[in-house]
Amino acid sequence: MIKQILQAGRQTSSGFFSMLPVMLGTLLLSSLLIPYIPRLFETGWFGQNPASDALLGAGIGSIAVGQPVVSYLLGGELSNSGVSLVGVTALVVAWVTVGITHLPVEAAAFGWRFAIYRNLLSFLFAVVIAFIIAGVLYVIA
Amino acid sequence: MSSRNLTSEKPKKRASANKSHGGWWFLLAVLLVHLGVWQIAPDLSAESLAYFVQVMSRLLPVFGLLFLLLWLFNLFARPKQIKHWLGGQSGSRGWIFSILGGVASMGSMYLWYPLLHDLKAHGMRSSLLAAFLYSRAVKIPMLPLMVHYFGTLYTGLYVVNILLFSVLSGVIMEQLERGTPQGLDYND
Repeated sequence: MIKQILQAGRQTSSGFFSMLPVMLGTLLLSSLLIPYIPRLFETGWFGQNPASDALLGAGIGSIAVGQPVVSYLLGGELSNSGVSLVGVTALVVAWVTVGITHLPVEAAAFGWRFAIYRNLLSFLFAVVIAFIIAGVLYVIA
Repeated sequence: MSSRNLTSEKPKKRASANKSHGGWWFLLAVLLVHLGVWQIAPDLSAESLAYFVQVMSRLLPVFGLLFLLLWLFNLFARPKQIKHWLGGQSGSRGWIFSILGGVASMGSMYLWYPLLHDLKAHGMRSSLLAAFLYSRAVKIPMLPLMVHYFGTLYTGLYVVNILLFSVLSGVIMEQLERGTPQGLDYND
Protein backbone atom coordinates (compact mmCIF):
# COMPACT_ATOMS: atom_id res chain seq x y z
CA MET A 1 0.00 0.00 0.00
CA ILE A 2 2.82 2.42 0.90
CA LYS A 3 4.44 1.62 -2.44
CA GLN A 4 1.18 2.46 -4.23
CA ILE A 5 0.83 5.73 -2.28
CA LEU A 6 4.38 6.74 -3.21
CA GLN A 7 3.89 5.76 -6.83
CA ALA A 8 0.65 7.77 -7.04
CA GLY A 9 2.50 10.71 -5.44
CA ARG A 10 5.28 10.50 -8.03
CA GLN A 11 2.78 10.32 -10.91
CA THR A 12 0.84 13.27 -9.54
CA SER A 13 3.96 15.41 -9.00
CA SER A 14 5.23 14.66 -12.50
CA GLY A 15 1.94 15.57 -14.17
CA PHE A 16 1.19 18.54 -11.92
CA PHE A 17 4.57 20.22 -12.30
CA SER A 18 4.63 19.65 -16.07
CA MET A 19 1.43 21.69 -16.35
CA LEU A 20 2.38 24.36 -13.79
CA PRO A 21 4.48 26.60 -16.12
CA VAL A 22 1.65 26.66 -18.70
CA MET A 23 -0.86 27.62 -15.99
CA LEU A 24 1.42 30.37 -14.63
CA GLY A 25 2.16 31.66 -18.15
CA THR A 26 -1.54 31.74 -19.02
CA LEU A 27 -2.39 33.59 -15.81
CA LEU A 28 0.38 36.12 -16.48
CA LEU A 29 -0.86 36.61 -20.04
CA SER A 30 -4.47 37.04 -19.01
CA SER A 31 -3.41 39.53 -16.31
CA LEU A 32 -2.13 41.75 -19.15
CA LEU A 33 -5.44 41.57 -21.05
CA ILE A 34 -8.17 41.56 -18.39
CA PRO A 35 -7.83 45.16 -17.08
CA TYR A 36 -8.49 46.41 -20.62
CA ILE A 37 -11.75 44.58 -21.30
CA PRO A 38 -14.09 47.13 -19.67
CA ARG A 39 -12.40 49.86 -21.74
CA LEU A 40 -13.43 48.09 -24.95
CA PHE A 41 -17.02 49.03 -24.24
CA GLU A 42 -16.16 52.73 -24.51
CA THR A 43 -15.02 52.39 -28.14
CA GLY A 44 -18.52 52.80 -29.59
CA TRP A 45 -18.25 49.66 -31.71
CA PHE A 46 -21.38 48.18 -30.14
CA GLY A 47 -24.88 49.05 -31.32
CA GLN A 48 -24.24 49.03 -35.10
CA ASN A 49 -26.41 45.98 -35.83
CA PRO A 50 -27.27 42.65 -34.10
CA ALA A 51 -24.80 40.58 -36.17
CA SER A 52 -21.80 42.77 -35.41
CA ASP A 53 -22.94 43.06 -31.77
CA ALA A 54 -23.03 39.25 -31.58
CA LEU A 55 -19.57 38.85 -33.08
CA LEU A 56 -18.12 41.61 -30.90
CA GLY A 57 -19.84 40.27 -27.76
CA ALA A 58 -18.62 36.75 -28.47
CA GLY A 59 -15.13 38.11 -29.24
CA ILE A 60 -14.88 39.98 -25.95
CA GLY A 61 -16.37 37.04 -24.04
CA SER A 62 -13.78 34.77 -25.65
CA ILE A 63 -10.75 36.67 -24.41
CA ALA A 64 -12.24 37.36 -20.99
CA VAL A 65 -11.69 35.13 -18.01
CA GLY A 66 -13.20 35.38 -14.58
CA GLN A 67 -16.36 34.70 -12.67
CA PRO A 68 -19.54 34.47 -14.80
CA VAL A 69 -21.06 37.08 -12.48
CA VAL A 70 -18.75 39.67 -14.07
CA SER A 71 -20.22 38.84 -17.48
CA TYR A 72 -23.75 39.32 -16.06
CA LEU A 73 -22.73 42.75 -14.70
CA LEU A 74 -21.11 43.77 -17.99
CA GLY A 75 -24.04 42.32 -19.92
CA GLY A 76 -26.47 44.28 -17.77
CA GLU A 77 -24.50 47.49 -18.32
CA LEU A 78 -24.35 46.88 -22.07
CA SER A 79 -28.05 46.16 -22.20
CA ASN A 80 -28.81 49.39 -20.31
CA SER A 81 -26.65 51.35 -22.73
CA GLY A 82 -28.61 50.07 -25.73
CA VAL A 83 -26.62 47.08 -26.93
CA SER A 84 -28.90 44.43 -28.45
CA LEU A 85 -29.81 41.32 -26.49
CA VAL A 86 -27.99 39.29 -29.15
CA GLY A 87 -24.69 41.04 -28.32
CA VAL A 88 -25.20 40.72 -24.57
CA THR A 89 -26.10 37.02 -24.80
CA ALA A 90 -23.15 36.26 -27.07
CA LEU A 91 -20.88 37.91 -24.50
CA VAL A 92 -22.38 35.97 -21.57
CA VAL A 93 -22.26 32.59 -23.37
CA ALA A 94 -18.76 33.05 -24.83
CA TRP A 95 -17.47 34.24 -21.44
CA VAL A 96 -18.05 30.79 -19.94
CA THR A 97 -17.63 28.52 -22.98
CA VAL A 98 -14.71 30.01 -24.95
CA GLY A 99 -11.28 30.56 -23.39
CA ILE A 100 -8.68 32.12 -25.66
CA THR A 101 -6.48 32.95 -22.69
CA HIS A 102 -6.93 29.38 -21.39
CA LEU A 103 -5.99 27.93 -24.77
CA PRO A 104 -2.36 26.98 -23.90
CA VAL A 105 -3.51 25.11 -20.77
CA GLU A 106 -6.34 23.37 -22.61
CA ALA A 107 -3.93 22.43 -25.41
CA ALA A 108 -1.40 21.09 -22.91
CA ALA A 109 -4.12 18.92 -21.40
CA PHE A 110 -5.97 17.69 -24.50
CA GLY A 111 -3.88 18.65 -27.56
CA TRP A 112 -3.87 21.76 -29.76
CA ARG A 113 -6.34 20.40 -32.29
CA PHE A 114 -8.90 19.56 -29.62
CA ALA A 115 -8.47 22.97 -27.95
CA ILE A 116 -8.69 24.97 -31.18
CA TYR A 117 -11.64 23.04 -32.64
CA ARG A 118 -13.55 23.15 -29.36
CA ASN A 119 -13.04 26.88 -28.90
CA LEU A 120 -13.95 27.68 -32.51
CA LEU A 121 -17.08 25.59 -32.16
CA SER A 122 -17.96 27.25 -28.86
CA PHE A 123 -17.49 30.71 -30.42
CA LEU A 124 -19.87 29.77 -33.24
CA PHE A 125 -22.36 28.31 -30.75
CA ALA A 126 -22.24 31.50 -28.65
CA VAL A 127 -23.41 33.49 -31.69
CA VAL A 128 -26.07 30.90 -32.62
CA ILE A 129 -27.40 30.64 -29.03
CA ALA A 130 -27.52 34.44 -28.81
CA PHE A 131 -29.77 34.60 -31.89
CA ILE A 132 -31.95 31.70 -30.68
CA ILE A 133 -32.55 33.24 -27.23
CA ALA A 134 -33.11 36.74 -28.58
CA GLY A 135 -35.40 35.34 -31.31
CA VAL A 136 -37.51 33.28 -28.91
CA LEU A 137 -37.82 36.22 -26.49
CA TYR A 138 -38.78 38.51 -29.38
CA VAL A 139 -41.49 36.09 -30.56
CA ILE A 140 -42.87 35.50 -27.05
CA ALA A 141 -42.77 39.16 -26.05
CA MET B 1 -1.44 13.80 -15.30
CA SER B 2 -0.81 10.20 -14.95
CA SER B 3 1.75 8.49 -17.11
CA ARG B 4 -0.20 5.23 -16.82
CA ASN B 5 -1.41 4.28 -20.20
CA LEU B 6 -3.87 1.46 -20.13
CA THR B 7 -6.15 2.69 -22.88
CA SER B 8 -5.86 3.11 -26.63
CA GLU B 9 -3.50 6.08 -26.22
CA LYS B 10 -0.19 5.88 -28.03
CA PRO B 11 2.51 5.30 -25.39
CA LYS B 12 5.39 6.72 -27.41
CA LYS B 13 3.51 9.93 -28.15
CA ARG B 14 2.47 10.38 -24.52
CA ALA B 15 5.97 9.69 -23.27
CA SER B 16 7.49 12.29 -25.57
CA ALA B 17 4.79 14.79 -24.58
CA ASN B 18 5.68 14.30 -20.92
CA LYS B 19 9.33 15.08 -21.63
CA SER B 20 8.46 18.28 -23.53
CA HIS B 21 9.76 21.58 -22.18
CA GLY B 22 7.20 23.57 -24.20
CA GLY B 23 5.49 24.78 -21.02
CA TRP B 24 8.68 26.36 -19.69
CA TRP B 25 9.40 28.03 -23.05
CA PHE B 26 5.85 29.40 -23.02
CA LEU B 27 6.32 30.78 -19.50
CA LEU B 28 9.66 32.33 -20.54
CA ALA B 29 8.01 33.95 -23.59
CA VAL B 30 5.24 35.43 -21.43
CA LEU B 31 7.80 36.73 -18.92
CA LEU B 32 9.67 38.40 -21.82
CA VAL B 33 6.39 39.99 -22.97
CA HIS B 34 5.87 41.31 -19.42
CA LEU B 35 9.44 42.62 -19.39
CA GLY B 36 8.77 44.40 -22.70
CA VAL B 37 5.54 45.90 -21.36
CA TRP B 38 7.35 47.02 -18.20
CA GLN B 39 9.89 48.88 -20.35
CA ILE B 40 7.20 50.56 -22.48
CA ALA B 41 4.38 51.10 -19.97
CA PRO B 42 5.41 50.53 -16.33
CA ASP B 43 1.93 51.50 -15.06
CA LEU B 44 0.23 48.83 -17.15
CA SER B 45 2.83 46.29 -16.06
CA ALA B 46 2.28 47.14 -12.38
CA GLU B 47 -1.50 46.96 -12.82
CA SER B 48 -1.36 43.56 -14.50
CA LEU B 49 1.11 42.17 -11.96
CA ALA B 50 -1.16 43.33 -9.12
CA TYR B 51 -4.01 41.48 -10.84
CA PHE B 52 -1.79 38.40 -11.21
CA VAL B 53 -0.87 38.44 -7.50
CA GLN B 54 -4.55 38.83 -6.59
CA VAL B 55 -5.55 35.87 -8.78
CA MET B 56 -2.66 33.71 -7.56
CA SER B 57 -3.50 34.35 -3.91
CA ARG B 58 -6.99 33.07 -4.69
CA LEU B 59 -5.76 30.09 -6.71
CA LEU B 60 -2.95 28.81 -4.44
CA PRO B 61 -5.33 26.92 -2.12
CA VAL B 62 -7.05 25.59 -5.24
CA PHE B 63 -3.73 24.26 -6.55
CA GLY B 64 -3.21 22.50 -3.20
CA LEU B 65 -6.67 20.94 -3.47
CA LEU B 66 -5.97 20.01 -7.09
CA PHE B 67 -2.78 18.20 -6.11
CA LEU B 68 -4.62 16.25 -3.42
CA LEU B 69 -7.47 15.30 -5.80
CA LEU B 70 -5.04 14.18 -8.50
CA TRP B 71 -3.09 12.13 -5.98
CA LEU B 72 -6.28 10.44 -4.73
CA PHE B 73 -7.36 9.92 -8.33
CA ASN B 74 -4.06 8.26 -9.23
CA LEU B 75 -4.27 6.14 -6.10
CA PHE B 76 -7.82 4.85 -6.45
CA ALA B 77 -8.94 5.31 -10.07
CA ARG B 78 -9.25 2.09 -12.00
CA PRO B 79 -9.07 2.52 -15.79
CA LYS B 80 -11.65 -0.23 -16.27
CA GLN B 81 -14.23 1.66 -14.17
CA ILE B 82 -13.56 4.93 -15.98
CA LYS B 83 -13.91 3.22 -19.36
CA HIS B 84 -17.16 1.71 -18.12
CA TRP B 85 -18.66 5.08 -17.09
CA LEU B 86 -17.11 7.43 -19.65
CA GLY B 87 -15.49 5.28 -22.33
CA GLY B 88 -16.53 4.26 -25.84
CA GLN B 89 -19.27 1.88 -24.67
CA SER B 90 -20.74 4.17 -21.99
CA GLY B 91 -23.72 5.23 -24.19
CA SER B 92 -26.35 7.56 -22.78
CA ARG B 93 -25.04 6.93 -19.25
CA GLY B 94 -21.75 8.58 -20.26
CA TRP B 95 -23.54 11.64 -21.68
CA ILE B 96 -25.65 12.07 -18.55
CA PHE B 97 -22.65 11.70 -16.25
CA SER B 98 -20.46 14.12 -18.18
CA ILE B 99 -23.15 16.80 -18.58
CA LEU B 100 -24.27 16.57 -14.95
CA GLY B 101 -20.60 16.53 -13.95
CA GLY B 102 -19.98 19.70 -15.96
CA VAL B 103 -22.98 21.45 -14.40
CA ALA B 104 -21.98 20.37 -10.89
CA SER B 105 -18.27 21.17 -11.33
CA MET B 106 -17.24 24.20 -9.33
CA GLY B 107 -14.16 26.36 -9.08
CA SER B 108 -11.54 27.48 -11.54
CA MET B 109 -11.07 25.68 -14.84
CA TYR B 110 -7.43 25.28 -13.80
CA LEU B 111 -8.64 22.76 -11.25
CA TRP B 112 -10.39 20.67 -13.89
CA TYR B 113 -7.97 20.52 -16.83
CA PRO B 114 -5.45 18.17 -15.14
CA LEU B 115 -8.21 15.96 -13.72
CA LEU B 116 -9.95 15.71 -17.11
CA HIS B 117 -6.58 15.02 -18.74
CA ASP B 118 -6.20 12.01 -16.45
CA LEU B 119 -9.75 10.85 -17.20
CA LYS B 120 -9.03 11.17 -20.93
CA ALA B 121 -5.79 9.24 -20.55
CA HIS B 122 -7.79 6.51 -18.82
CA GLY B 123 -10.33 6.21 -21.64
CA MET B 124 -12.83 9.10 -21.48
CA ARG B 125 -14.34 9.85 -24.92
CA SER B 126 -13.51 13.20 -26.54
CA SER B 127 -17.22 13.84 -27.08
CA LEU B 128 -17.95 13.48 -23.36
CA LEU B 129 -14.98 15.69 -22.53
CA ALA B 130 -16.30 18.41 -24.86
CA ALA B 131 -19.80 18.04 -23.38
CA PHE B 132 -18.40 18.35 -19.84
CA LEU B 133 -16.46 21.51 -20.75
CA TYR B 134 -19.49 23.09 -22.46
CA SER B 135 -22.05 22.26 -19.79
CA ARG B 136 -19.84 24.02 -17.22
CA ALA B 137 -21.50 27.18 -18.57
CA VAL B 138 -24.53 26.36 -16.40
CA LYS B 139 -23.59 27.51 -12.91
CA ILE B 140 -26.42 26.57 -10.57
CA PRO B 141 -25.38 28.91 -7.71
CA MET B 142 -25.23 31.79 -10.22
CA LEU B 143 -28.69 31.19 -11.72
CA PRO B 144 -30.59 33.39 -9.20
CA LEU B 145 -28.24 36.23 -10.12
CA MET B 146 -28.86 35.62 -13.81
CA VAL B 147 -32.61 35.67 -13.14
CA HIS B 148 -32.13 38.99 -11.34
CA TYR B 149 -30.31 40.54 -14.31
CA PHE B 150 -32.08 38.95 -17.27
CA GLY B 151 -35.33 37.37 -16.04
CA THR B 152 -36.65 33.83 -15.54
CA LEU B 153 -37.53 33.14 -19.17
CA TYR B 154 -34.11 34.25 -20.39
CA THR B 155 -32.39 32.09 -17.76
CA GLY B 156 -34.53 29.07 -18.65
CA LEU B 157 -33.74 29.48 -22.34
CA TYR B 158 -30.06 29.91 -21.53
CA VAL B 159 -29.92 26.66 -19.50
CA VAL B 160 -31.83 24.62 -22.09
CA ASN B 161 -29.65 25.93 -24.93
CA ILE B 162 -26.39 25.27 -23.10
CA LEU B 163 -27.42 21.69 -22.27
CA LEU B 164 -28.52 20.98 -25.86
CA PHE B 165 -25.44 22.57 -27.35
CA SER B 166 -23.16 20.68 -24.97
CA VAL B 167 -24.43 17.45 -26.58
CA LEU B 168 -24.05 18.97 -30.04
CA SER B 169 -20.55 20.12 -29.18
CA GLY B 170 -19.63 16.59 -28.09
CA VAL B 171 -21.11 14.99 -31.20
CA ILE B 172 -19.29 17.39 -33.55
CA MET B 173 -15.99 16.98 -31.68
CA GLU B 174 -16.27 13.21 -32.03
CA GLN B 175 -16.97 13.55 -35.75
CA LEU B 176 -13.93 15.82 -36.09
CA GLU B 177 -11.83 13.28 -34.19
CA ARG B 178 -12.94 10.48 -36.53
CA GLY B 179 -11.93 12.64 -39.48
CA THR B 180 -8.45 13.24 -38.01
CA PRO B 181 -6.24 10.16 -38.45
CA GLN B 182 -3.79 11.21 -35.69
CA GLY B 183 -6.55 12.11 -33.24
CA LEU B 184 -7.42 15.50 -31.78
CA ASP B 185 -4.93 15.19 -28.92
CA TYR B 186 -1.99 15.12 -31.32
CA ASN B 187 0.20 18.07 -30.38
CA ASP B 188 2.54 18.69 -33.33
